[in-house]
Amino acid sequence: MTTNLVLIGTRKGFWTATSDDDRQSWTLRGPDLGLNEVAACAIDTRGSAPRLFAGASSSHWGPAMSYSDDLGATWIKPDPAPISFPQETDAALARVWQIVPGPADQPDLVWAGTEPSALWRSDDRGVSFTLNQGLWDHPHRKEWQPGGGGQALHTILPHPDDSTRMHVAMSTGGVYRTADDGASWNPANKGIQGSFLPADEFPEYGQCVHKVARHPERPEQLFAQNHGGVYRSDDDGDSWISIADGLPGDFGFNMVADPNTPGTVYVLPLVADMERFAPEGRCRVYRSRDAGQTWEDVSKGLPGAGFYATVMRDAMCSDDSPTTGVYFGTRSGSVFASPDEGESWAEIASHLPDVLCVRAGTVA
Amino acid sequence: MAVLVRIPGALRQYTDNARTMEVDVAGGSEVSQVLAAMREENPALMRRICDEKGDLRQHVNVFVGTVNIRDGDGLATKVPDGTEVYVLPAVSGG
Repeated sequence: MTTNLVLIGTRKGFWTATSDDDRQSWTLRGPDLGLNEVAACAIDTRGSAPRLFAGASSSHWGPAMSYSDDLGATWIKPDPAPISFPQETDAALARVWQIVPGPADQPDLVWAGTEPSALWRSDDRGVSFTLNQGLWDHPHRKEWQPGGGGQALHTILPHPDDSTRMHVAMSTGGVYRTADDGASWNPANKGIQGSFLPADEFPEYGQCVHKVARHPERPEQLFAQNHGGVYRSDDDGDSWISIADGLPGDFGFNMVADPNTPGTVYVLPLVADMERFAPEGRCRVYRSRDAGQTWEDVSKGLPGAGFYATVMRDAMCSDDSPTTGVYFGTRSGSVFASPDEGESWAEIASHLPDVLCVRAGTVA
Repeated sequence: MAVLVRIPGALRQYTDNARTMEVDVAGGSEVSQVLAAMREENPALMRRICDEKGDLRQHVNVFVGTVNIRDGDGLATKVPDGTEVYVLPAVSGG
């Protein structure tokens, strides 16, 4: 039997939702991980048993990477700390922002992104991580500035076919990529606007990119939700074009690529930088099936009025089912799920603490 | 000199439920040296009290006797011989 699983990380604890009837009904369990803030989570289905990861942070005892091999019933916090900045960096881990399991043929490889902005690699399935020195030593580092949430590396996109290539995204800093297994990194932001910058609005780097996504079968095509602006690149990030036409706002935090259909993406538009609300107070998901040339409102079942919650950048995701499920959690503690590519939605959790991250998948 | 450090309940999972920890440091030592000796003996406990730079976590307090070291000289606060050190989580949050 296949179980659909949704991980829900919140400001104060961690929940799981499971469905055994192809996402028609859900059972919520939690809170786990005590009063920890969970800003990053992941489902790793590569091993003999699924492993869940959580980047959990206690306001008293600090941040830590945890994992569970029993679907969240118990959690292991490895000692020594899996992610710990080397002494020579004079830095300390503030928060784990991103956890990405590696490809199926490297079952022990796990990536993590952190605040301060850094990329980490684990070759023992998340028990210990090594700092990517090439990005840490990047000469641009002193120019990267923290956004409202902190100076974070929040997006990691390993190339699906070439293990030496990867894109990452930071706020601020923008998109960077490597083609030599992380030894060197170059900015890839041509065409992305930095409207908040005082001088050059199209700088080489320094943009506040909120989220980047791509489809594994079309890896050269990237989609970005920027701090003002929605973009697509068809050339691996060499250049970007705006795909915001047709959306009710070009601000937002989310960008989800449909894992089953190249060119299909989902966003949650907000009005503007200075008006961070869903347009007209209606909770609306927009979907494009043609790589952002056109957009459609797919919001059946979502709150139609009086909705002023926002959705954090990692609180929207897809699952890996044959018919794509899409999920998002709000800062007002609700989680909404669509089992049918956004065509219809239902609230599967409510009244939780503010949701920081959501991840979904299937487990046997 | 031997310094007795009192451990809060929330951290006793890292001390086998021991309420105290005793470390040996040179006479006239500062809090930083007491914490370093604790780290040497129990790194799992200490990563909850200090970050990897050695800075005290924001919502953790250390008292030398009745003095919060944040009101003293911070990690450079002297630990007089015979004075107990307390690790206390801040009463904070919501």
